Amino acid sequence: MSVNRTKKSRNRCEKIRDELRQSLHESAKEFQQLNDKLSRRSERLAALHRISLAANDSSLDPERVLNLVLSEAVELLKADSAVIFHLGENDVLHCEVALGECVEQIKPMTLPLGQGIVGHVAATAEAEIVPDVEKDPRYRLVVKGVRSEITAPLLTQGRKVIGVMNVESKLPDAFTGEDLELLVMLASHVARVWDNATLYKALRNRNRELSESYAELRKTQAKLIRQGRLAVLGQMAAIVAHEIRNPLTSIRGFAQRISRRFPKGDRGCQYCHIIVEEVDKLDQVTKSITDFARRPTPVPRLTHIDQLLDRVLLIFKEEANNKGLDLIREYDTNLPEALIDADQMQQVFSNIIRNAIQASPSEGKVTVRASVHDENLLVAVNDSGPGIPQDVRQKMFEPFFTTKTHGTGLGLALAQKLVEGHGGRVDVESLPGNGATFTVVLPLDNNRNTNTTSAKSTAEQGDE
Amino acid sequence: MKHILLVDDEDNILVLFEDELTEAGYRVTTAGSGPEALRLLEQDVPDLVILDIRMPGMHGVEVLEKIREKHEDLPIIMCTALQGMRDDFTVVESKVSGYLTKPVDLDELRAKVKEAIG
Repeated sequence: MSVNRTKKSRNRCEKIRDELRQSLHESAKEFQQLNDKLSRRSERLAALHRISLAANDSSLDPERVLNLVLSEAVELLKADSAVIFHLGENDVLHCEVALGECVEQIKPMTLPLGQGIVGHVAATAEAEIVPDVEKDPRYRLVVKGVRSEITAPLLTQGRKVIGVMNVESKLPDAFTGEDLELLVMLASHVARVWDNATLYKALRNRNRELSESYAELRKTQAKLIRQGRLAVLGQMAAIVAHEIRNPLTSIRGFAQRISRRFPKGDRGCQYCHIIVEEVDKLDQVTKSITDFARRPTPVPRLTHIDQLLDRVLLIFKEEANNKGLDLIREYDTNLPEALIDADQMQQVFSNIIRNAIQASPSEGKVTVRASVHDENLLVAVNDSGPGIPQDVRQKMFEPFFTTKTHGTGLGLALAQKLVEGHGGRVDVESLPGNGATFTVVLPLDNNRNTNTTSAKSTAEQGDE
Repeated sequence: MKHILLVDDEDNILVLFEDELTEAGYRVTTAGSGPEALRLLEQDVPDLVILDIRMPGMHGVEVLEKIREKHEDLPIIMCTALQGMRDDFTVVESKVSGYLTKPVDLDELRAKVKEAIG
């Protein structure tokens, strides 16, 4: 009896033990599974955190962030490839970045909205799992061997579809609902990065536009200031003409009349002549001012520029000789005839060459070059002076700016005005200690090189 | 004796020209403004008018137009302080006998007057 009871109870014990063992084994298995799941989750969370950090790092290039998202996606989802498509303005999806196998095949890929699985997700804005692409009629074969995929739309904050993210595997039924959730989260990061990048790009473009407008505005402002000065100059010329020339007329006339009361050769007679001479000098100054304000219309004629330059050089030959200066001419052969106002251009080159001679030291040299470049006639005057300091360069074309003791400050201003009247410009190059080069650029295009608008001076439009 | 009407708002210039032209043997009347000149013209038509262009009130060119309404052939010399203004007054040019540019040389004044009326 007791033996039986003992045997029975041992059997029961063994059974309980087996059951316990079994249950322990199952618990361990379950625990293992839970542990795996947990570590997978924490792995995914860590990845999401990394992506989130990258997405918020504005110093990172958006493309780098997208590549990071793709590589995390491939790894976490144990996929074979991942692709991000961008939905263009014409409702066509094209591959933006791709990672994994057969990238080269995927990259040139485009899909109209609504076509293929990717196009369908873009159209419906709903994420999808396709467990077996072979059984899905929408599937379009691009990469051989793909069996299953998950696809999520890229949505802006306003829920607008801007693209699609797609992850593929060569195994059938490779993705779970949890995987799809992860993909949706990744897609939301991609969308935000993209959104920000687009905003950033728009902002940068806007910034560039702004700085361009600003530069334009500065130019216009400078021009307006110059024009303002010119207008003032025009008015001043009228005042100078009337308010100075009237008294000059009296002074000169009465001096002439007084001189007749002295016998010829008398000191008094001499004095009167001096007065007349000085008045004429004053009149020359007023003349240079009114000439400047006049801005006569250019009367263009076909002109041999080399002959014109030679004429100007001839005028300065004596002055240069006295100073021991070399006047060097370097003209290109076969210079074309230019359609210019020869009188005005003679004035322009005279003013520039005079400055060059005055700037050059004794025994120095002044070189005049004439050439044709890009449909423009270039006349460059180079001196061997000390060069032009920056502060002078900024002002030297302004009327009345001068560095000379006896100068009206109108020479360069007038030269520039006349050249601009021909549709050209005056460029200046100067390296300190290396002289200065003034280059007159005149367009050879006949349609452009006459500027007949507003040819009358302000002084003469209303005043006389 | 030929009669000249001088029109200028500058008294000193009127004195200068009057003395010079009187000495040269002309009878000279002066007017300090356009309206005054037109009034004088109503009473006595001279052989020549020397007319300043820039004057306050009535501009010299306006005075010229008004004189021409009644006296088509009266010789008129315009006096200007702006050189080169002729380019811009070609319309007026046909109506005047000559120009004087200030500061006026007295020898030139005599020559121009002589050329106009002898």
